[in-house]
Amino acid sequence: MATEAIVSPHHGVHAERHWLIEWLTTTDHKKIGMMYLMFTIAFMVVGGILALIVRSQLAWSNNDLVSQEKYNQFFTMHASTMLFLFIIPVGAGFGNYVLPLMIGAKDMAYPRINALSLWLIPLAAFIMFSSFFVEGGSAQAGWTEYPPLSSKTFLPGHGTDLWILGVQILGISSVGGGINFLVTTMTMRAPGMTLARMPIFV
Amino acid sequence: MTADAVAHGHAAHPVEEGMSRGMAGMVLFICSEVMLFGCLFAGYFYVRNQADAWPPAGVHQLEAGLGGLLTLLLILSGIVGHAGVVGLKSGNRTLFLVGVGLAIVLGTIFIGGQAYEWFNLMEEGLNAGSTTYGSTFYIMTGFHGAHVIAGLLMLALAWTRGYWKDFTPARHLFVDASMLYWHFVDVVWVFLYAILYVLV
Repeated sequence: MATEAIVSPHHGVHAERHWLIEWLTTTDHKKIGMMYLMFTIAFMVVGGILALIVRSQLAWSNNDLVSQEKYNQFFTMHASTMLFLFIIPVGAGFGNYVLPLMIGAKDMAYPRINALSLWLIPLAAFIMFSSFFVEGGSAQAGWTEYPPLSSKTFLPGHGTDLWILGVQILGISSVGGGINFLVTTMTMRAPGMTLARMPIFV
Repeated sequence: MTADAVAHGHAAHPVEEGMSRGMAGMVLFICSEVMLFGCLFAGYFYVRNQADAWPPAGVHQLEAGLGGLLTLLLILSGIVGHAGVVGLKSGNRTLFLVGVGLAIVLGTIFIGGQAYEWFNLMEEGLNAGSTTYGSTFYIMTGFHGAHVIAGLLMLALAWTRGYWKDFTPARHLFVDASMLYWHFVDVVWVFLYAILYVLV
């Protein structure tokens, strides 16, 4: 994509954009896939640190490394991070990079929705992690957030609200990504590639 | 699908027949919306089934009158909107502008009627926070209202683009997609009306 932007028959020669602008505004599936992987691996590290705190607390009995409330917050956010910010989007990262290549498409079906799906993830992560700093701390009812434990009666702080907001945004992101993958696979396969002739990993 | 045609060498190009890329996306998006409303309906029936009395003591059943009128308006807007799309496809631009324009007007009246009903009910004391009867009602009609507003914005954009002669009988993907979404919103309302107002 970058070379196309530099030498375009209609607009002449452009100066190359700054690499940061290029990466922040890109709709190229490979760059988006790589950024997905960078974000998710970073979140895996964050989730791993949270797990480390949880396990350190449990290393011996009567340990007082973290308070009860903090402990609940850390294991809830550890699980939420690993599930919603790592396991779910990491597949979208690999898929973004390799799926168009495997079916012979030049990009995803909706490149801009693809970029939106990517950039909603750090936004959601910011909202979820910012809940550590609100009154009452972050969500602490486990990643399933089952009511009544997660309800206002038992957790009056705003951590659960921010957690729900973050998960909703991640839901929008993955619905957008899922539609994108499905439409790409349905409509952009190379000539002669029937559904049964697709690579097995698509 | 067209995959067979490709496999037998009839099509020289990548799969382009059948559903277009944009419509495929809209259909899948509507599928995700069906799941969303399906969750709301499931939650509603669960809560209703658990309740001792529905509506709970001290709360009276919703009046079906105004809602019924709004249902008719929404169905009518779907019909005239469809007529507008048919007009566009047959090159009748006036029919398109009138049909889609009427659909937008009727949808706006629907939202206005809904808001009127909400304010009336809130004055009567039916609030989202007071009973589960209230919270299910407001969350379901509220979600649906948000979807109606989204559909109206899409139709308004389609109408404006049509007014600017952006569409031809052969090229009108945005009109098709937004009208499909509008029909979906209509159908959801029919179900909502049936279970929230009519089902006793």
